[in-house]
Amino acid sequence: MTEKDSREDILKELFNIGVGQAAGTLSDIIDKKIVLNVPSVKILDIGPGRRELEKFLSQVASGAVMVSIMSFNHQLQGVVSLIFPAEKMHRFIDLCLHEERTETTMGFTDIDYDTIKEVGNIVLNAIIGELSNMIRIPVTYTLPEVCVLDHARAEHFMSDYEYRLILIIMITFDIEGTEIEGAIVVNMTLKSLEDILNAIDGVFHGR
Amino acid sequence: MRVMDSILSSVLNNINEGIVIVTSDLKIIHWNPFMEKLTGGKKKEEVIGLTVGKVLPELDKNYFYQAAKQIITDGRPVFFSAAMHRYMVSKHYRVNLNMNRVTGDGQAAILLEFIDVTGQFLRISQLRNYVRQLSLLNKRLKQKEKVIKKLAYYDNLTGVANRALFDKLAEKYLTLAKQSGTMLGLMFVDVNEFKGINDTYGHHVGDQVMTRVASFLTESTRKNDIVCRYGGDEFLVLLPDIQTFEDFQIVSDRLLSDRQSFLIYDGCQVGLSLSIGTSLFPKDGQTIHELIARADSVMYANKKAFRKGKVQ
Repeated sequence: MTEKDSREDILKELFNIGVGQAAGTLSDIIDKKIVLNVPSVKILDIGPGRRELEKFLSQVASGAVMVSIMSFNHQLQGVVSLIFPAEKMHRFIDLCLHEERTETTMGFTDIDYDTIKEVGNIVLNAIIGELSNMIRIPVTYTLPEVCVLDHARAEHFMSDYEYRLILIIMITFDIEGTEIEGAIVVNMTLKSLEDILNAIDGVFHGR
Repeated sequence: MRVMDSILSSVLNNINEGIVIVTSDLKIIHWNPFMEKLTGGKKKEEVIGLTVGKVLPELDKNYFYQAAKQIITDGRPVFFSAAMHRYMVSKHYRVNLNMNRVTGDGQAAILLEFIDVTGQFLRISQLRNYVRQLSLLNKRLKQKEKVIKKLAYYDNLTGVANRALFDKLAEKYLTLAKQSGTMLGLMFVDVNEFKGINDTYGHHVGDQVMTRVASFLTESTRKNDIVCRYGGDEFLVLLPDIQTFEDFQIVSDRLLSDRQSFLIYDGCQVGLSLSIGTSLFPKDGQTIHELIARADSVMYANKKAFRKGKVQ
């Protein structure tokens, strides 16, 4: 096992703890059992990161995506996006709201956006919270903004200039048997990621 | 500083959203007039000093307390949507809640902003109703379109194809037969003594005879053959994709052997028989018109023979 694999495995364990708590909170709120799982985490340079993200967008979210985006700053700086395939979101939102919409032609309403904003807030809080706790540095951020992108490309979630490395966290939502695969993309400054990797190495080497 | 405090307090009291400030142990220290409106009259004097969960029971939940703790310790903002938390302040208003950490005199407190989105819910509900109505209307229009198409291409009495549909399909199948080198069969069918049936038993029985003949032709021919009421008591049957003469003969023999039947009306037995003439592309003609003319003349000869046989 390479050092890179170990780092990714440690992050995966860490995020699974965070999303497990988020799943508990969501289950309490919607009064239904919801299971969140992080099957893989990848730390990538911009180039491979873009390819990996394009692969996800074409396989899982071919077409439109619904995204919760949030910026964070302080010592840890970056942008985090929670990406869902839009075609599955009407069903997901209906399950969250205990509703069954009869009309299928309507796009997303403000009610739908607010529902995803709350889900995004809980999940992204868990992810950034875990990173923040790991390096023991407080992070400040705003509430997520939600939008729908009709033809999503990796460029929408990455920036060549400010952020040089990305974390791609695959996440699955299971709500009453309906499973949705999403991805969380964390764009961070090199300094921020170095802080995190150093902290992981500390865990790995028992420091 | 005191002037600024006074202005800030006035801003909070005049803002068009519900503002509540609670201490780290969730006791209410500010409750603006808009909150009185949202809660249906809970006044500032009644709620100051009480815990927010007691005043707004919908917030007396574990996840709310966890969120409050997170805000105080880490400053992470929290959002509760009106969609997922239906009656956060009262049954009459739908509100979104933003929660943020604020500090003053070294003390951390939580700012709760309740944003009224009741109008949004009403508008979306109206919009959904419109979409539902439009979709229902669209469904009805499609059904009507189907009925209109049926009326335009199918015989009202018997339900088989009418002349318009026959003309359309006959040309199509003739072209296909020419392209693929197959044969196209045609049958001209006429009800014997139909005028006599109408005169003796009335048009009502005449209609029943037509329906019976249409069913007989449909049941006796192949699935893809076209049965058409050509006019009055005349029917045409189009037999596409005939590979060999034997294929054609099987269908035509079936019709010829079963062409005599009867109908029971008002206790009486009404005799029914058909005269049938056939033609085959390319042997008997190159156009639909020629094929019909050929089948018609064979049918007429058969009818003559039928009459002769009856007289003798």
